Amino acid sequence: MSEGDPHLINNAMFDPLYQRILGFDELSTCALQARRYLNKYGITEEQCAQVSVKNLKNGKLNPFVHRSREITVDQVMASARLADPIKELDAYPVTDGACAMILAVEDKARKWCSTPVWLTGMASRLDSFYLGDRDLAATASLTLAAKKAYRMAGISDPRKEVDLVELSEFYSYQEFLWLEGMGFCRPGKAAKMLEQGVTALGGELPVNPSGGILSGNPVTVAGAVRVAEAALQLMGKAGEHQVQGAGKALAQGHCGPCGQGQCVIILEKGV
Amino acid sequence: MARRSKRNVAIVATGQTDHRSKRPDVNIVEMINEAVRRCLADANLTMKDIDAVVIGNMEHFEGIFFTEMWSVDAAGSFLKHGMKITTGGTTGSSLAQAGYYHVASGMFDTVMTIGWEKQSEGETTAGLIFQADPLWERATMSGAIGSFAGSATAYMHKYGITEEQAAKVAVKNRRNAINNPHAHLKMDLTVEQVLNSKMLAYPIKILDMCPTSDGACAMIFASEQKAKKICTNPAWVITAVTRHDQPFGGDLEMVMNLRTLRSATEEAYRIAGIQNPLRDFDVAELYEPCTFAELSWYEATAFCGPGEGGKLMDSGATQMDGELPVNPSGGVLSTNCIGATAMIRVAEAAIQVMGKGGKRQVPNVNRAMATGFGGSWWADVMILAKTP
Repeated sequence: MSEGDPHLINNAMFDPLYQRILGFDELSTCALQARRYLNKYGITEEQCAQVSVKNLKNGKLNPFVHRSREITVDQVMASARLADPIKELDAYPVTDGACAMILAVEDKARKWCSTPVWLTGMASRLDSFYLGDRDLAATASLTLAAKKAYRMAGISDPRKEVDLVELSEFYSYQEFLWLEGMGFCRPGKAAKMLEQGVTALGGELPVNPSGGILSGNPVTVAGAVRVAEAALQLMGKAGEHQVQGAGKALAQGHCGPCGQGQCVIILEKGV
Repeated sequence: MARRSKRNVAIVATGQTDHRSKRPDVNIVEMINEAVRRCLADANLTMKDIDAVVIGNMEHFEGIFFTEMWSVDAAGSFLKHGMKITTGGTTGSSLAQAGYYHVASGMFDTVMTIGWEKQSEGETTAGLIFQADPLWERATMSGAIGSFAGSATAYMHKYGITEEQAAKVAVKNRRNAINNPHAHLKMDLTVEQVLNSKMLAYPIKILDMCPTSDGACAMIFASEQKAKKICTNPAWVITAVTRHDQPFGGDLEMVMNLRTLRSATEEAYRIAGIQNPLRDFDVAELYEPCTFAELSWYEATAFCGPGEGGKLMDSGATQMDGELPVNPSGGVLSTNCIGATAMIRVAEAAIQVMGKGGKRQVPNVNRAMATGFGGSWWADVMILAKTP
């Protein structure tokens, strides 16, 4: 990322005829989505700021991330306003990085690794491209992808059966929107889950124990890092940010304007 | 090592636009939609029958990123599983392989693959230069023509290949193209016309090079159960193999010697039980970016021995009435919409196996081969047959 121009590259994902000339990029369109989501469910910027507080704190325990520190909601609120309602500490930092994984067939996996992690559910879906064709506070592609992945993995109640989530929150509001879209709570209720401590590292459903994307985002690698982090957790190799006793994890990634394309992967220990 | 998939997979439909140097009548997504509709019509299907869509082009040629996102409506992938593949010249053959893998894995039963490029709305050479290492090679990277000029010269020098032999490829393929309603350049040329055409970079003259085209191609891959329902005469995928080479020019064998194609075909032949490719195949669609390349690919695919590509061309064996017709579609020399180009090779091979080739049909095709070329001298091979 440090050798590119995120605004220029993001702007080039919008169609050259109608949208690109408006100067759209990921930040400005996600700001529209954030505002729509906040308005629809009466969520406050302070509640979103708590996502940054949680994830940057988790990141302190992860040696691979590059922006992690103890911050307060007030600091997030006081950070530079990039595109209302997104502020600097609500947004991902510019990050350089790479991630690699090895996938293997069962007999090889068992030979090479004493704690292999199994892929038991996977689905991806694409929503409409044009922002006006969607309710930006709804997540049709994510919800469909999650349902398909749950069905493959035999999960009927994700909130009870999934032990941890690594999701792609490019901006703090997305952690709420994606959790709701994947059925971990009712629409508009994810902020409450965070306030109750459910999604904290020691909570009932830790979300982004790695520190998430807010702690470091080598953009196209971000989704892979979520899968790798979920795998590390299930292998028991997550070090200081290890979630104890996790058997099932979910990794989520997205692509395109405002999470148009969504992918959900379920990983399991010792199936 | 690749191996035969446990699940049989067939190509049941293809659709192509009528390729041109410029398609000002349609924008990119409209052009994609044209190929998609033709493909669905070919098998009498609708998008409801399709489980997943794999689409690709070279994004930086047109300067539009996330093209799989913009094209959702046109490609019919709305609320479906979608994936983008973008591997340079091999994009189309990578797409075909991805379609094959998607079905072979058992995860999907019907998968549409779509390759496209609208070169008239982009700047391909700038895009090609971007793929070179920014520190070592970008400053001297000349795009496709310069790269082929150097290696064609070395190829001529090493084996005594002549410009006349190369010119015969241009004559053959563009005459074949006359019989292909989708082809871009349909020309009845003579060897002299090719030799006297404008010099681009010795020994490559303008008629030795592929054109820049606007166009799209779509295909449908299906599981055995679905394929037999959809289509009476599907083209079965026997195997697919891909090989990549090193990124730096100095590390490559620059004698037009496509070691990736040799290695990929060796493995594909082993899996498919091909002993004598010239005899065992009934038709081949080779990705020949320039005339000299087709001669050299004859050698890499073991249609003949090293250095004998020119002689094989002279013998007429690869003409429409020869032992192994190569590029009855007119090949890349007649049509080059980059992200679609290598998929058109697979689609045309499938058309031949399905017996839908019309005026370009080779009689009694049981086994066909398609190749892809691109990136840093990468190669893909796909073998198709009338029976699984």
